Amino acid sequence: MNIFITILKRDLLLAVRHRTELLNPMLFFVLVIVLFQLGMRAKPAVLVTLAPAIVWIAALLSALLSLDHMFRSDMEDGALEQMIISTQPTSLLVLAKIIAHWIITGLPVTLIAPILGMMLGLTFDATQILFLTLLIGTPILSAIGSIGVALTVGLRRGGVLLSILVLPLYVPVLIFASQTVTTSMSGYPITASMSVLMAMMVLSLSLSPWASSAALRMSVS
Amino acid sequence: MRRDIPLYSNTACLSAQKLCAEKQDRWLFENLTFQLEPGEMLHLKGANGSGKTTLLRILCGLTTADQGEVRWGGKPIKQQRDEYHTQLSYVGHSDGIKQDLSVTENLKIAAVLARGKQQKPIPVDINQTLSAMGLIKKKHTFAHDLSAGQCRRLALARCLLNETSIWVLDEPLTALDKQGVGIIESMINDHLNRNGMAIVTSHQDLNISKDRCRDLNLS
Amino acid sequence: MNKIYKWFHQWGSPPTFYKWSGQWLPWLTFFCVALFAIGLYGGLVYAPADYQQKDSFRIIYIHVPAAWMSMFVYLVMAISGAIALIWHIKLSEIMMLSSASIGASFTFIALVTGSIWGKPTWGTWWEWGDARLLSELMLLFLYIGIIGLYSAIEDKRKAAEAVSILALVGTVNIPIIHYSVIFVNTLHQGPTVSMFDSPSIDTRMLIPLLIMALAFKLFYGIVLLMRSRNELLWRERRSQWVKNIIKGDGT
Repeated sequence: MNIFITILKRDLLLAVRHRTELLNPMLFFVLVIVLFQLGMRAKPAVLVTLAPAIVWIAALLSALLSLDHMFRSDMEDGALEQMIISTQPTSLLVLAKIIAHWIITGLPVTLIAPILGMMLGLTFDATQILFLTLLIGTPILSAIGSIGVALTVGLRRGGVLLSILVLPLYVPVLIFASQTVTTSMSGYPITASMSVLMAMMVLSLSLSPWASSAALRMSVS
Repeated sequence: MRRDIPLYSNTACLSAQKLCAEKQDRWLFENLTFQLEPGEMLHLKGANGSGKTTLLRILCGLTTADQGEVRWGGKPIKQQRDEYHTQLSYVGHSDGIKQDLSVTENLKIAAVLARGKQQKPIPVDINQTLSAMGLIKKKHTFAHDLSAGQCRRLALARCLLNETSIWVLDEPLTALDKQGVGIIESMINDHLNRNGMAIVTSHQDLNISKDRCRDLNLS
Repeated sequence: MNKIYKWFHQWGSPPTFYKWSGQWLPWLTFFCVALFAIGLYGGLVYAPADYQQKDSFRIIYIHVPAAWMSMFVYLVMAISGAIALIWHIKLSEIMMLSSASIGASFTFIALVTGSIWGKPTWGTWWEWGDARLLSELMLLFLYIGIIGLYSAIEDKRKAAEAVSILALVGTVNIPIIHYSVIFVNTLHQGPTVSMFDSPSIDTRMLIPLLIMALAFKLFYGIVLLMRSRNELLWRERRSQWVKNIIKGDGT
């Protein structure tokens, strides 16, 4: 447990020392949503039906953009190697890095999403549901994304490949999450899809550290 | 110098059995076999690109050889990764330190990483290690404010801090001034006196007692 | 356990594999061509025209087997990847790598034929709301990702390891694909061929479909063996048995 907290604190400390970079995921998130509205110039009635999808796509893209940070600097300065040949289980270290990544990127996005949701015309109830789906869903994005980054961190130009690898894995989350909000807006019960989302979160957080640490060992060797 | 430090408890020897490594269609080395006893140092020599770094990484368990295996105490290291890594310190080409953390913060993390499942306590405290490496005045300095030589000393401080009996060092003297080189050489000598093992690559000659040091040329 | 391992080792040894695959290929090809002939006749001529879709439904004789194969090949790829990762059996690794582009092709065929089927049946070339179409597209992306990752990593031993991990991770996607048919309302027909329910389609339509499925499987087997043999020859090009074959002593 000690090692988990140490690495978590380390990553958060490193992020805080680069305070300006903390804003990037949030800015990108806001930008995408604003661009959607500007590009579509749709009537408010139409815009509100599209709102859940727009917000979720923006969250997904901003997660994708920020994934690279997870392992790249550790790879470059040799800290990753030290973590791998340390006596601590690599998957625990990876889980700590996933949670740190979520706190730095997914959580801020989740917190400002309600404001943007209201801007797009969502009702208060729908915004609540949107917030919940983001709270449950953004950790999934960090967890699944870590697998993709772990596989491509050793490559020089892994950017495009990362998107191709991670997007098919993100799509179920996107579908279920935006579907949940849309369903709730139509008045139907959402317990089923919420449970699926929560199951996805638990599954991804418990299984992806294993896959990512295997991939990291490969990337570093 | 510290004369009353006890010997390391590890007495197993490290051996390489018929190691072969390939790189882009040519063999770097084939059927490489050697044995290292506690108290001995292996000085790896060879031209650039002859596979010195690859061999070091194989010995650490970061890479696997294409053929052959590394054994510690008779058992392959693959089967005893945790115990082996408890006794191992590796300093590669890159320092393995975070530029945005201070000297003390970096060492604290290295200590936690080395603690292992047995929750091995840290007998040597950080201040003592920093004094030994000549970095005590820079305790709270950020790593990005240190010179290259000081960063190297910080990286090597890990070996001292974690009390490991096997040191694998890739070009440890890079960027070090005369004082730094002296510190490292006496550090290694002390380590060998305590029955530790060291595998070192270096272009420069190291001032280690000849009966403890063996050369291996990979060219 | 030792006996099974030894058996695997013996059959998986490169020269042995090369020999027996060479002996099996002509037979497999014969059966495959035969099954294709029977299946296509059955599908295009024998089966009666569908009540609603008339003759345009006949494309299912390519579309459905191709879709089944796209998922089957993925499973084979993931399983041989897992075997290669855990037990380091070279042949498993080769089979995994050879399956990737075959599976991608099947997926592509399934998508294109599905699209062609969609136009007269539902009026659209593509339907975004359809979960099965969408997940087939995602499967194509997974395949492309696997092929891309393998070619991007220079050290081929590392690349094979990376691809095994990716294939295993993608396997989790497949049950999610199946679940989405139930969860999300779609245009697609509900599953009409399943092992447990009685099929809701006419037997005269079903039999050619199953024959075509078998023919596709044999086709996959043949192409897989051919590609694996090629890859094996290239990897072992420095060894004695390959040199013998080149000289003309081997089979």
